[in-house]
Amino acid sequence: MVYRLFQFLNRFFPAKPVYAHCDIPCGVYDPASAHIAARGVYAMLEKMQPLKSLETVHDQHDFIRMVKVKEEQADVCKKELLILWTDYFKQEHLEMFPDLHEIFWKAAKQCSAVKRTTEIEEGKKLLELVKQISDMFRKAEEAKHSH
Amino acid sequence: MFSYFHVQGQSMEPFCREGDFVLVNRMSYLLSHPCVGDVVVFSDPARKDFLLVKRVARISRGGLVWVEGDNTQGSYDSRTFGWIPRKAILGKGKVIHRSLPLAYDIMTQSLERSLINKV
Repeated sequence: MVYRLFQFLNRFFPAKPVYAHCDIPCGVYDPASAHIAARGVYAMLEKMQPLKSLETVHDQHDFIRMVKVKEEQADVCKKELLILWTDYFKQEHLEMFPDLHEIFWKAAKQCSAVKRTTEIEEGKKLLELVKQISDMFRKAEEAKHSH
Repeated sequence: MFSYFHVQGQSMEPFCREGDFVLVNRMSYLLSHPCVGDVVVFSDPARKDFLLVKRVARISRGGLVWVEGDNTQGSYDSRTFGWIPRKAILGKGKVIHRSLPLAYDIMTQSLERSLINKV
């Protein structure tokens, strides 16, 4: 009853948030960091495509750097995804997206898959999965603000 | 004199849940001292523009206050940032619960507790 009154008041004079945080109160989550890392992986795979052989030391040097960056970005992507999975998404989101766990599971596995390959298709798959997660995030945020 | 806030986070569960409102009386500690057990709204020592809601757990003689969240699973509170000065406290909070059954649970729990204490 009193809550309803406050809910009504809140429409006209929106209340500021007060945080009852469980860890460091940053509360800043964004799938953009995972997306940038996934794009980094994709860019490295793209650079590898025209390579046929590594004749010179210079070519070998460049290739090693591409592999290194790909490995690093795949790790960053996995880490960022796990933060969203374990910290941002909550029980209520599982009701909104019943396949949430499935998508994250596949995306996290894909972060490892892109390390093992030079196939650009694998990079595309990762980008697609990260995009699905970004969509869920956007919908979850919209639901939060309309609530 | 009064402000109200919207609760985000789970560190005050089960007493106060995400989505509950907290009504703060800014005058509450002008004439009296904070008491152990009070729910207070104060600014985060690490980021002044962030307001936190916790419960007073201890008070030092020098006017410093130790705050903790109710949720034993973990809470960002004095266990991380230490004692807070009294002037960091905006005021005493009254929680406006979203769901009645929860408030009812707490009422019955505290009733049980007081009965146990008497026995």
